[in-house]
Amino acid sequence: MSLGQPWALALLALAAPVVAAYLFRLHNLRRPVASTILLRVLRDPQPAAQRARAKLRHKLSLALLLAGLALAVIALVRPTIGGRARQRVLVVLDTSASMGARDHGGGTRLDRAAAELDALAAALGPADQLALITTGASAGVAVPPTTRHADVVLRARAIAAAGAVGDNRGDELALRLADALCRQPGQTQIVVLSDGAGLSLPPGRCPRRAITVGQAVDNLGVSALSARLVDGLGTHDVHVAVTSSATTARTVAVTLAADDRVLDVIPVEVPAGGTVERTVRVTVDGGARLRATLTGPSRDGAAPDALPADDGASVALPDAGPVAVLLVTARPASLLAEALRVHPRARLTVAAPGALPTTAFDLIMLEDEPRAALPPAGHVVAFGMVPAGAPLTLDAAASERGVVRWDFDAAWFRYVDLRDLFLTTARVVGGGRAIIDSASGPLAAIARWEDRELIVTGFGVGDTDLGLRAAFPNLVANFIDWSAPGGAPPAPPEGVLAAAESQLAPRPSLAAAATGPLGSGGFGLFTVAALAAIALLLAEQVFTLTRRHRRSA
Amino acid sequence: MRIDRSIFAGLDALRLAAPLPTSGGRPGDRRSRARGRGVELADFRPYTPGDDLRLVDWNVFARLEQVLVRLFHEDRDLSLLVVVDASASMAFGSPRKADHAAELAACLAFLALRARDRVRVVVAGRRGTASASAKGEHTGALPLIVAALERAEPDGVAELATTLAAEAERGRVDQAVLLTDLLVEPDERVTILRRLARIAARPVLLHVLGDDELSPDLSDGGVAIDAETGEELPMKGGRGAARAYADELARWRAELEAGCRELGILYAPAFTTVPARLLVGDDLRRRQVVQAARGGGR
Repeated sequence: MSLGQPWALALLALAAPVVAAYLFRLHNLRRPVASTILLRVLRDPQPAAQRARAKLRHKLSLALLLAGLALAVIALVRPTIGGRARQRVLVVLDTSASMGARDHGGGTRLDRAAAELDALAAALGPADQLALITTGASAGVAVPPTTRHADVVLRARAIAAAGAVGDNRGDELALRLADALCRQPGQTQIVVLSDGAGLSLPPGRCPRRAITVGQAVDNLGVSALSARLVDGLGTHDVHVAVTSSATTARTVAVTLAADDRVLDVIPVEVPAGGTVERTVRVTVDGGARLRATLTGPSRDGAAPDALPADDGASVALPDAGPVAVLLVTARPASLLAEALRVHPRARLTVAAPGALPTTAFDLIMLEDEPRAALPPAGHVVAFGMVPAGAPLTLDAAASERGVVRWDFDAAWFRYVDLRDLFLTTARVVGGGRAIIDSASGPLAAIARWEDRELIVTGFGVGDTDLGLRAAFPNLVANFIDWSAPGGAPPAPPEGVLAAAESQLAPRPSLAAAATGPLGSGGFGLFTVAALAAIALLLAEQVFTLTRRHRRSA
Repeated sequence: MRIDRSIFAGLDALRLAAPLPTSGGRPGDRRSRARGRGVELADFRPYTPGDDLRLVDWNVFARLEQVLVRLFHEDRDLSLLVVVDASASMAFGSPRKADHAAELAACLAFLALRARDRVRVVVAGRRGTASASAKGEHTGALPLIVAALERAEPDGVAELATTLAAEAERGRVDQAVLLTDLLVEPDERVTILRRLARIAARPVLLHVLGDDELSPDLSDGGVAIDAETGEELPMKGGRGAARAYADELARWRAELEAGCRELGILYAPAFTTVPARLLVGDDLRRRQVVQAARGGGR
């Protein structure tokens, strides 16, 4: 026979005062009275203490109380007769990046967790089952429930040796997996081995216990890194955040580099336990890998960083690739050609109106009317003319040539300001959807032309001062972005941990969030015993009160 | 024992009733058996030398030619003896029987002093008796009596019979009031009542009982321990016991009343369930222990 909570046996000591109280009550129901003269008529030749009925009544009451007490003790002690019932322990091992922290030197938290698992396995009986489920950025059953505990320990050590990476996105799945392996809640327990950083314990049907590993240590880490292309010329807004779990404010430098070329060094002062965010603008070609690296914490006399994994992060900048552009012009000197030529993504082909190539292009820009069929292209922009067969027309000359409206939100006009645009001549564009308007009518419109997107302006590049404005290269770059073939979605940053992962102070609330001691839980026999104990104690009280009420009535 | 000093308010309109002529030796406001100077004509007797000529009834002499002297009822005071039982049994009840008895005794003393009667209060307790007597034309002597009552505490066995015998040696009084629960053995009870009957022309027993005697909680049996004798009595409990006790109480009280009647003692219940002022102003008035203090009433 084994006892789950042997300390609860001490509650049996309560039986002594209970019995003593009953004996006292039985034999010493003494009451002082003014005089016994009037009470002599009630003299009991056989005192209540000796009467069979009274004895039975008191014995029944005492028996009820003692039975309730015994059941309560049994419910707390949880004895197992004839050997322990087979237990199943499902260990959820946190492998997120914070588990790679080294607390004041020594091994990582993952190593500590593996050691805890070793101790846990040693406490299990040979028939008990042990399973290992990993959680972190992903979750999975590393070792299904088995009685070969050594295999589980070895697997855990191997996982520890491989290192900790990622965040805790897999927590919910891991706990769902554990719940799925929980066949008998009364004999199964989920043990979460984690430092608590970023960990959440959603409610489940199986009792849980958390073993917190790790200590509060100082750490600074890059908790966010992202880049956004501002224009078509490689200007990026880079957002970087640094999170600290240090107990004092720290000054660090964030070095931004692209393919080993340092772009910027950002000094930041991170408050104790806080996060600092910075946004800087850098110019870097698309496709490069932007890297943010923390420097400084170990050089300013502070304690070494506990978690190197979050000291650097990188993100691949989006690269939409080259754009094949065909410029049809008869002019020997063209501002449009120059603007296209300097664009880093434009692969420019200049063709005369009568000598058009036949290869496919992403974008065709028409400065003069072509005299042959246009080659295949997804996008066509025609300045001051309409290609043959197009659904748009150039109508009468616009008497009012001032721009009164344009599609501010359209991609073509990002960073393009058309206010006070000077036009020497312009014609109203008919058909399609107007994207630039004057008081006389549309000065530019867009329409679907077979499988092409066609934009026609009522003015040529030479009819306006647009080519002399800063908006012009932006407009050209916007047309290139508009016509760029669809690339891969932006790659997620690497090495960026969630801010919670950098907060290495173990959460004391983690243990409180878990429920139930080892081997507890479920509506088992002991719960029934505890409820029965409560019922018996209540029954005894009702029994006593009813008897008194009946007598007084 | 504790006395609520506000209990005397509202008692101004009362005084002790004296249905019999007093035998007091001091001038007062009560009609006495003595003949002498007074207001109310009692009798005539022949003149003897030395009689006060102012007492000769000259109308009778003119009509009958006999010299007769007028005799008057003399107005004397009333002597009141109040004996308070301060045995341990009087410490029971809520309010305590002893406190209730002390308040009643103080009320009676107040009424006596207001009517210029003599009053003596005796507290009979374990340590013998403690007494206070006063005679005054106003209530200035009342604090002495109240203080004597408040100094006493119920304890032990009160030798009421001995106390009454000792008071009898001091002389017979007009009224004697005994405040007690009379929870004593029957033979001692008879002795007490007999001595009370002998000590006064008008003996009164104010029977002080409390909740503990009138409606005790007998739902549980157990062992009752007598507060005075220490006797341990195993007793039954339950509804049957409660019925039996009620019957015994009624029988005991009936026997006590009959004994009082036989000895000429006025029996008046003075239960703690009724406040002392209400008892004095209502119950004792109906039983003619006290009366309205109307002018000239005797």
